[in-house]
Amino acid sequence: MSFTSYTFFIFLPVVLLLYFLMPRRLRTVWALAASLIFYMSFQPRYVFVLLFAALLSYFTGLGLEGLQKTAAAGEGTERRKKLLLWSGIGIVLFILVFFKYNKYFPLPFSFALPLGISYFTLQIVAYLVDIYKGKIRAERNIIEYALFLSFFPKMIAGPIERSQNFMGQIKDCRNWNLFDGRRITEGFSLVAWGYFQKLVIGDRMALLIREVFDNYMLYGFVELFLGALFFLIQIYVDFLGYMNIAMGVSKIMGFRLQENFNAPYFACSVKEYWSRWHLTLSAWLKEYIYIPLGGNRKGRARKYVNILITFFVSGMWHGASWNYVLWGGLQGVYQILEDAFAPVADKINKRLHTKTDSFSYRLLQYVRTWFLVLLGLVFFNSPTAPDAFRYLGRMFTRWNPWALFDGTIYTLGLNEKSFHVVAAGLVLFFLADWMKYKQNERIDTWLSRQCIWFRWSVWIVLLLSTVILGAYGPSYDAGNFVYFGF
Amino acid sequence: METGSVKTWGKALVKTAVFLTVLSILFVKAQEILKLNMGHRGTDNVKGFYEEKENSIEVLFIGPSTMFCTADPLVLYEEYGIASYDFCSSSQAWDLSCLFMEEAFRYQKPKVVVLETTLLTKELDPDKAENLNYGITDMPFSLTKAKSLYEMFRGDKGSFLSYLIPMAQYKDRWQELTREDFTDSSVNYSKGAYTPAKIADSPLDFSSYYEEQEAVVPDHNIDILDRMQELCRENGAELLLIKAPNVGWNIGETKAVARLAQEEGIPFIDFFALMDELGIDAASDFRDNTHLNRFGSAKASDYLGSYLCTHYALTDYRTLDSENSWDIALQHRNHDRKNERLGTIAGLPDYMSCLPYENHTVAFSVTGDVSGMEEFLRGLAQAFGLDGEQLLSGGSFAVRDGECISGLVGTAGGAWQWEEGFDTIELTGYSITYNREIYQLVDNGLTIFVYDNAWGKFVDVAGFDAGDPAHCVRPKME
Repeated sequence: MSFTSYTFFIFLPVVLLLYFLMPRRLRTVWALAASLIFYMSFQPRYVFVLLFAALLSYFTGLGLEGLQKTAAAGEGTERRKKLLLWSGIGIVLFILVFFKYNKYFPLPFSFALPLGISYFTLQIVAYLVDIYKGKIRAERNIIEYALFLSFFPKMIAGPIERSQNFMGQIKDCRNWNLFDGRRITEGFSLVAWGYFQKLVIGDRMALLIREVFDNYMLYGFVELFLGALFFLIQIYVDFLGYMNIAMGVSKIMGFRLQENFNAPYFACSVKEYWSRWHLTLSAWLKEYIYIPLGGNRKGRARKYVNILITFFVSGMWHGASWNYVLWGGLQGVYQILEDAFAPVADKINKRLHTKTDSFSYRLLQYVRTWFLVLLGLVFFNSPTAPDAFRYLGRMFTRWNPWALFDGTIYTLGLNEKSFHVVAAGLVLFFLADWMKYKQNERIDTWLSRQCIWFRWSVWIVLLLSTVILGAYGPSYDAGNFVYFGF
Repeated sequence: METGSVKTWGKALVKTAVFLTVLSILFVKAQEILKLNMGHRGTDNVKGFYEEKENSIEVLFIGPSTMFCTADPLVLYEEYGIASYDFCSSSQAWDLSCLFMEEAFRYQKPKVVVLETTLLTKELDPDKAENLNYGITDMPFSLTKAKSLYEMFRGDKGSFLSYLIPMAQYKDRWQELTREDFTDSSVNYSKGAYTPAKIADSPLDFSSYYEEQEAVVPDHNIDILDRMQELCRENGAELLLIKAPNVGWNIGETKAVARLAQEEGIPFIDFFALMDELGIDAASDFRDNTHLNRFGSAKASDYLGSYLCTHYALTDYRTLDSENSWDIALQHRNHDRKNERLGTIAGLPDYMSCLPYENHTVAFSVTGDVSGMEEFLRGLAQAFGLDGEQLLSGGSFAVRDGECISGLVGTAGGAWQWEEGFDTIELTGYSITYNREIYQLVDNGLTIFVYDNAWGKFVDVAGFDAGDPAHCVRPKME
């Protein structure tokens, strides 16, 4: 039951209706039941993996807190605490590694990846570490804890919520007055905007991306660059579309999910890009990998090693193949080079009297960032690392500018009219992103401040254009959300 | 909900209801515009059915294209006064025929329902499920439709919903929308039939029909037939099965259907067996391997009319005092056939004699060296009060309802423009432009453009070379 499936359009209204009508004390129970039903609609058996991980971390958390209270007892208790923490984390990570990388094990059979496992595993690790460090208290209510891990809007592809942000909301939800018109309409605006992003822009772009990446040996620079450029945009549109649907549904239910993006394509460097892209994952990696490794406190060389390790882990987390490792490594290398050459770049700019505060300079920096990220994403979207190298090799050696003018680009899965739709959608999309960048305001809150006629017109145009122009239905190989695969 | 906010919530609910109503209206309208338009009668006979006056149809034909290419309701009306309609859809699966019957009984009380049996021996093929669109696209939403589709997809909820809310089936239709999608009338003046005059490229080969193969009617289809019989009983209608001739059908299948019909006590007409008797010719009475053309359909319809009048107590609608929709449909057909005839004429004299001036705009354009045609052109100019000599040196003019409305637009310059609805015709001394498309006129001779004002549509354009006016060419757009 993907967010774009017909069944979800039946599931969601039923869940919301009952959630609103449910006695307050049963809201969490119903939200958990709905989340488990949602999860089981994908892989019914794997709900046991989820429940096992939840129970294990729940009791580990209680155990850690119990030992915390007796921490004063001495050295032995601290060792037991550490042992318990690492046992809990070890088992959960073993489950993740087992399911994610079992194709590399000499097993006579293989398992599919349980959906959302990469996300709830990171949540569990953070939860246990935070209890260990005494930042939070262990959760007593197993239902509320299970809901924290499995809440259906964020279950499959994040955001990677921290218990500090989410557990409080779960506990508080019985006190909420859900009937807040403004919050509900803002939630629906986000959902509508998310579907527009996903179906009208992202999935239509995916048609060209699939064609180019599947048949890259047939194409030259123009097609391959276009394919990579489209993927650069599509992965963001797709992921942000998912996030908006997740945040919108949560908002209707009264929950506030953390934002995962902050206009990443208005970043002037790869480092800044990573401070705007997949924020909850970046924050997790920083807090539970980079800083424990020493962060930037142990000298420049060690800092660079730590950056490389962090992005290596990020790559491994995304997928069990070399192309993801190379993608992650490349992100690390970019940041190291940026950091190392920053003084040189500053000197050159001073010598040349470059107006570094001008828009044109920033634009050049945006373009440089896009290009670097784009190169990395070729690894991300290629089936194997050699494919990615060949793709890039052809891109830089098969120069065919005429393909821009002889109609070739309209034969790559998107005809001229589809290109127009994508272009119009992207104008809207980047306008909204620009607003986020400049005013730090999302489209839902901005829209709720407008007059009713404008609001309604926007909603109607969004909904109808999604239904009419969306790339879905039997004639399309309905693409799932890119980040569902992780 | 807080008690103090009841008023606020009342307002919010009203707003939501208004918003959803506006959205729904726009959605339904968009769906109507975007829905399937295959450019043939495979879909609009369903739409037309709902435009028929309630309880006005006495004989209803249900089935796939072999049905609506065989039974021509206008032949049945013209010759026997039977009020009938082809409530059919292309490739109509047997399951869908049952839905059509249920749907039909909601609006009509036919005395006879005629079912074509081409798909009785075949189960619904999921790979061909898209063909259902021909039938369900124009069928309004109803619980009957929902239930029937649910049964057809047997639990495949995704497919069921995508057909029930068919917007998903029309993906990319927005890319091919034309004026017709926004302006087409719902009335079907052929009463659901599709009987073009086209003749198949080569005579049909029925030899494989007689190489008998074992055939059985699937149990599921027998159950559906039982359900259809029950429906007919409940609604006081008689059921009649027919099989239209087509290549690909086998005598084994005919026998299986005939056996079943006998067991069920339903009369069955086998047109394969009647081909010789009715004079249905494999060379001239089919438009392709599967469908009868206008001439074959006329013969089959004549037989059907006679059979229906003999076996059932039907009303002769021709004798009723008031004008009915079949009369109007016949007028349309005759008008249509006149227009259609123009497209088949080769010689200039014949073409001129068939030109329909009434309710038509006809544009003439003379270009180049017209030696050999001077006398004719002088006569033509004179007939419309123009200077013949001037016309010989080139120029254009337009005639409407027999009157020249443009004057002579010479080659020296100037243009004349005329609009009808969204259509525009522009004449210069050396060109005819229709909706911004310029026709390539004959180099030396006369080009005639015909537009039907009554129906607001282009009819024909024909070019006659001065050196060979007996042979017409069809100018293309530039």
